[in-house]
Amino acid sequence: MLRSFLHNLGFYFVFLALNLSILFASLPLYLILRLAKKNTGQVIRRIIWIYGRSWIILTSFFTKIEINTKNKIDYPAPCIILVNHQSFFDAFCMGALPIYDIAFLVRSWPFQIPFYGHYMRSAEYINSENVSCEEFVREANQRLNQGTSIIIFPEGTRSKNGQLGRFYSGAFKLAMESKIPIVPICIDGTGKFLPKGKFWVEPNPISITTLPIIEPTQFASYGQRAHIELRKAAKKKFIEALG
Amino acid sequence: MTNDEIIERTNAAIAEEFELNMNDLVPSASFKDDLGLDSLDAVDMVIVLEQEFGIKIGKDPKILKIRQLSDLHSYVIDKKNAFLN
Repeated sequence: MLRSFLHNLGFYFVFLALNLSILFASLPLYLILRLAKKNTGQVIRRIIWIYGRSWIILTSFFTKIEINTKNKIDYPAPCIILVNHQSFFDAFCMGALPIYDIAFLVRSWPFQIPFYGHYMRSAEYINSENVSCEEFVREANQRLNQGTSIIIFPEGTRSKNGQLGRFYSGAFKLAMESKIPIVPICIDGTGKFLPKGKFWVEPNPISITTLPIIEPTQFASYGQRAHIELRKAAKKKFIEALG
Repeated sequence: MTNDEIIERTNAAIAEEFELNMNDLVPSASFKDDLGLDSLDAVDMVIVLEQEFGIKIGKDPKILKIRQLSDLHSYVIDKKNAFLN
């Protein structure tokens, strides 16, 4: 019990220290990256990636993290990155990817989180709620056309029991319409490390694994049902990876 | 197309789209409480029905008020009949 308490004390101390560090480092980082002729969205996405990478490094002192996310060359630019969702910590795990120009598709409520919400808006993250499918596809295509990859949690929410949930269709309709390849990333262990609705972290091994690319063009022959077949194929990859 | 055929096709289309069991698709089923569908699914629901029946729903406020399956059946039947007339 004492060990667990100390773990949490350390973890949340790091959490506070890292947030403050990023807050103070943001301005000089922003100016440096702007001088390198990056636009504001790209700059903030880079800063968020550095934040996530810092989380991965610091959390590895508390629990084992196995990273199999391959190399930059294995990620078509742009691509649609699908990630299964077990924990709030999954968003930080994206710092383990070798690419940083990535925008998340998120529901409305995370935009209201103090500190994070501001960065998410500045990073041009996409709000998936209260928009029609056409509006979502149009906004997502804007990001893809500028070379920004999109991260989507196809379950839409964190799993309550660690089991893979139902997949929403949005990601697959976008992939079929844009013909942009899908890169599935399987995260395992974060649901036990920091479960949904809990703040008490429990050391538990985490793995982050990039699975083989799925080409949506291979499903075009299914016509109107193409997104459903693509969704089934993607889900199968996650089921196999999670064992 | 008869009303029964419309109901059957509606159920088959949403069962496939939302990974639902056909046995759960009883008329009294609540989308939220019984079938586990939410606001994000409303967008997909519109597309599924438009594709299945060739009707235009768009942002029709009536569909946003639908809470159970029997109401959806009635909505689609009315839309289909209006389209034919």
